[in-house]
Amino acid sequence: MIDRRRFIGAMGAGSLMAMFPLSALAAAPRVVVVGGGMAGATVAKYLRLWSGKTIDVTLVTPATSYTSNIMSNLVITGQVAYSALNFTYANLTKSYGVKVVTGTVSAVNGFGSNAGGTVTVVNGPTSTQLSCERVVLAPGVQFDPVPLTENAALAAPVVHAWQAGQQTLDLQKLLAGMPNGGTFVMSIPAKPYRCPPGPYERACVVADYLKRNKPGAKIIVLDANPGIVAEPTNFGNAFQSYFAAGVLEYWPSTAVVSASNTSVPGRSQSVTVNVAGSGAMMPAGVSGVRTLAGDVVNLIPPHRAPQIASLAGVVPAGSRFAPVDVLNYESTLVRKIHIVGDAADTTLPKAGHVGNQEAKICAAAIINAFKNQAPDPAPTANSACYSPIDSTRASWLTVVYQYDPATKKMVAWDGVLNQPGAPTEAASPSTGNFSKMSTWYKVLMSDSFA
Amino acid sequence: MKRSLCAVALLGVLASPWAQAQTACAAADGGRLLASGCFQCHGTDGKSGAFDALAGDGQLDMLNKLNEMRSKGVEGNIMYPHARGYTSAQLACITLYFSKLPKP
Repeated sequence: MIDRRRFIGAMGAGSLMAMFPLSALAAAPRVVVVGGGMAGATVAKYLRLWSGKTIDVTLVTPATSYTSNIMSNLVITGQVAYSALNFTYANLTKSYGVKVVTGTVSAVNGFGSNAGGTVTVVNGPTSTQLSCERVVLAPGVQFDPVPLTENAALAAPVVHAWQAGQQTLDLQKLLAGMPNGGTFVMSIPAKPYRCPPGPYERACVVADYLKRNKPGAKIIVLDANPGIVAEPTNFGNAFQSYFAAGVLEYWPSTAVVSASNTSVPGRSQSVTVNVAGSGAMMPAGVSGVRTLAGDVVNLIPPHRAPQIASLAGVVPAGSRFAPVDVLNYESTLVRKIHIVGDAADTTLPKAGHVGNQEAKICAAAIINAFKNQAPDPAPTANSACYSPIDSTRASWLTVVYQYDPATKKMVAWDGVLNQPGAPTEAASPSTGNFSKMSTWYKVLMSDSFA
Repeated sequence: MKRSLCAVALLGVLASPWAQAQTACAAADGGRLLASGCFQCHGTDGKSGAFDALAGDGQLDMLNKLNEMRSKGVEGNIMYPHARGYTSAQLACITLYFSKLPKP
């Protein structure tokens, strides 16, 4: 038995030697993935799966597990357990052999025209340098500070709950503690923003919660955009219905100027805004600079690629995100650095479902690059996103994007008419869609983390 | 041999409304990257136990369903507008890829 196993082992090694020179066997190409969210986990998985485990993949994550933004709005209303947002990296290691390193990345050096570079990982007092031929940055986003809120001694911290985690639980507690007749103030940044968690979805599920649990309470939605950005029909209808019930005001073209504590008794924070829009769902005569007090103030600041992307040199001065070639997600500024997910500057939505697809396009292109082959010249990406409208009904949006060689951008497409298309939303919210939302979440997370 | 010829003939009859449907795929990876856009809802390699599993389904059967979805309005079922986003050539690659995988 042992002899036969040895014999087969020798045969295997011999035939491998015949196929590849020793030097090729000794140097498995290495990729370090920075960030363990939807895009980071997916690119690590598919680099291993599609290369037949011939690429050495290390995933560097700041936490030992990922907390999902998708479904997090229903944790805020107490309908979904916080634990349902938690995904570990155990399956990526067990099933695919992804090496997982916990720590934050302080530097990305040496890439470009060199054969490779290094990624510096800091964990407490320990600093480690990982060498690799290519690096994939999937760091998500960081949020702009809100003026007058930087000093925690002077102002209550801004709770955005736009990166699921402790703030999701903080906002859940603040909402549950709201008095009857109270006011929940939330702001939506100008696009592009991360979605999910969807801002209009959040407004709807909070309004639904207030309607059911807090008599006389209302939510004021301050939108920097001139109108509802996504699913205008379903969210617009829902807003109208919540407005008619006295639980929602919608102020379009309203930008947050600053936020601070307030002396109004029982009101924890105030926010100053510049109102440039008007609409049927806002009080008459509201315009110009206004200050509102809220029992809960939930400001979602504008986003940008995190600092590590700037340190790596992939964010141009004056830009918020990292421009990439969407055939392989390689930086247009520094070769061999790839950026996937919300930090990348593309025409695609900053959604986990889309980050998953960007990661697959990137993984396939990196595998090709190690074989000196060009990336797929015509990739597609798609968004399919379910959104709760209340505690029992959900809507959906779907769109397929095709690569346009003329502009080198991904374009929403109608493949029947063979011309640019547009996202489609569900005809109306339904309980059936609410149930399918759970299925979508389960399968999407499994495709990314298992 | 005889049985496979019969199967081909039968598929031809079933596929008659879409007799012109493209079934060949020119993509270098056999449609894998294109098909991976379905994995988010249908599972890695189409092996979902939740929404429809696609691995190992017949190519023409899948193409017929997708072409029927594309011909419907855009609302009602999420797959109607979704299927419209792909070209006929891409749908051929996607269905060919899934058809060659073992059933889950």
